[in-house]
Amino acid sequence: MTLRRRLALTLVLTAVPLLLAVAWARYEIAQRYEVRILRDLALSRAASLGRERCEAAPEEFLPPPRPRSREAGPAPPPPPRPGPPGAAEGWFGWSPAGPPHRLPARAFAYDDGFRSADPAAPEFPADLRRRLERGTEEASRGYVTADGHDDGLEVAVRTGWNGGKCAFILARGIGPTTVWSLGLVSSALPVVAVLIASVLLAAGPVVRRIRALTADVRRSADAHYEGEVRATGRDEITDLAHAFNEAGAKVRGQLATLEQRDRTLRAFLANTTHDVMIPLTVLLGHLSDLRQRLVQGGSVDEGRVVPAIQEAQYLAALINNLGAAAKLESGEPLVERHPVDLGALVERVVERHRPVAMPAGVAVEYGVPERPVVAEGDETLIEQAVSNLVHNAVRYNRPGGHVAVLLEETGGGFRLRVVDDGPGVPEEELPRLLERRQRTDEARQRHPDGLGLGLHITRGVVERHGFAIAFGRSEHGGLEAAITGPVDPRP
Amino acid sequence: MQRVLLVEDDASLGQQVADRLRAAGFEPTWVRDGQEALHVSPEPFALLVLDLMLPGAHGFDVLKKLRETSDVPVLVLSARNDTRDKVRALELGADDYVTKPFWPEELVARIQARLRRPALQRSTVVEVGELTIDTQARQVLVAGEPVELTRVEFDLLATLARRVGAAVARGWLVDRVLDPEREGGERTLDVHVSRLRKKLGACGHLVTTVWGVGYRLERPARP
Repeated sequence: MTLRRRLALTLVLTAVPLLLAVAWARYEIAQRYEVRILRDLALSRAASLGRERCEAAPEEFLPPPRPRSREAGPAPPPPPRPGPPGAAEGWFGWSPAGPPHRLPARAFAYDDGFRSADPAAPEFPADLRRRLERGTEEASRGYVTADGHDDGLEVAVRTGWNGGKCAFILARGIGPTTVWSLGLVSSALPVVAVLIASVLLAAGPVVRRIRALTADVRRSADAHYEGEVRATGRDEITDLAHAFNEAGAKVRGQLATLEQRDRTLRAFLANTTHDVMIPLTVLLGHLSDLRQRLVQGGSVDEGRVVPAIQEAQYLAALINNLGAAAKLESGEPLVERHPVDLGALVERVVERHRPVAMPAGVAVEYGVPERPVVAEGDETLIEQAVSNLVHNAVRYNRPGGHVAVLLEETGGGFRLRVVDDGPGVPEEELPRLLERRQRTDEARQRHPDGLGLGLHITRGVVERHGFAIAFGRSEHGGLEAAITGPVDPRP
Repeated sequence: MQRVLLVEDDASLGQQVADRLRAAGFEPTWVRDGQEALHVSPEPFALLVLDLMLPGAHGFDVLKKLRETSDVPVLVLSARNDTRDKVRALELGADDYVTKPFWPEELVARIQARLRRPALQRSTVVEVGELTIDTQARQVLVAGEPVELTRVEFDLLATLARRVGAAVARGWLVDRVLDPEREGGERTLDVHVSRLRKKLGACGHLVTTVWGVGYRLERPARP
């Protein structure tokens, strides 16, 4: 339903019943008033005549006024029009006196049988008669007057003079006989109509502005919320336009984020595919080489299998790291935060690397405290961070080398060290390990030596958790990486 | 022979793991469907290896149902490297998890580690091969013969014996075993260990040096 139709309907639905209710109430009051006047007229006339005079000449009960010149006796006094002073004033265009009476009020006397000796008296109305016979003191009804108007009012009263010719009086006058006869409804209807029309007119500019805003919003939505909608004026519609512009700005922001994420994801997919294909190709090469040697009846020694194992391990680490990179680079805060048992984590990491380290001749050991050391964070990410350190320590070691992972609790914190006796990193190059790497789309640049991406991830994870990482020379000549952080205070 | 229930839907992976378990001395029962897993009684099994992504019923459902009646150790195979899955699995009562891809050795090591728990020795008497350590009576026997140890040597051995098979850090031993009033450094610790080994004689080799960590009381090779 349009705004205008709703306004018009609301107005009609409220104004018309209200008008009818007022008209009905007004009619009720006016009618009762007129009935009372006629009754008083009849009763006061009867009282002034007295029973004897009335019964002597019932036809003379209230004769029509005669021209003053021909009048012999004193004219009967004009019927009193009692009524509260004040109430006689007009109300809704109607006064108790009503419009100028076309007909003077008349009254006729009737006997017990509802017959009148007055030849001018009308036949006693049957319905009023029935009501009086049932014992009521008075009864009234509307009737059509001799001159054809339907605003005649008849009131029948009982005088109490039973058995005579003046047992009942029928008084006739005019008064409101229907709700419509006051003219209130018909005169108020144009007012209501004007009211509705003016409301609709006033709604016009509002409707026009809403339509314009709708068109603007559609246009803006079609243009991916690039354009703003016009916000003129200073009313609720202006507020709506401003609200839309604010929402549009948010949508634009989110679209930009999503598009950025989409680009990152696509670049990530492309890079991942590229990154993964290389070690996978190397792995295929190793497997093919092994098969060929077997087919040609040659023997396959462990030294030929180890590179394939290493390549597979690298592949798994790479995919895990790329997943971690995507998690870290999305820029979202860490969603997963839960207690992480670092001792169990170290054990898992070491057992993951042993199957690769052992055939390569590198021993991997670990030592964790008896009591669990629990930190808070994302277990997958922390495990990946530690795994990268161990992976590098194994990968850049030599046969006969060692790697150890040590977890210690240090008064409110933990220290996790990965120590090796490999070639290590020259002192002057140690700081370079922690340099912030620029995020580049070129995958090869991310880990030109296979070391970059892993350390990059480790660093990102450590930072994101509020831990710290430091590299140094181990007492055994190799590299020592130490991650420190707070332990989970929860029990 | 310990029985292991393996719930894994992938044919190749399941076959591989089952073979490896058999080679490692376990007796595997391989179930390939979640619904079937829901109806297997855990009673005869020492441990469950449970994949999460299963046809029929999710691994979580299997785990939930299982935990209503049984405390058998459960090792979850998590396909995705998704933290939420792991946390949920542990919350539902899994004891450990291994993420794919994993080395078969890795899985076997995790199973063995789980079956060895509790690692902490509650009993006051620890027996490792020919070596018997009674922490209550502070007595050490090698092949039934008592060995005289100093206080530091005994505390050292008892500390290692609390976690047989696990490396104990030198720093930890220095802090807890050496007399703080006397000169106590890692060098001193090494001297004590070397004396201890000598005194243990035939069992001296059970106390091994763990590179970069410290010392360990070795679990004797399984017969």
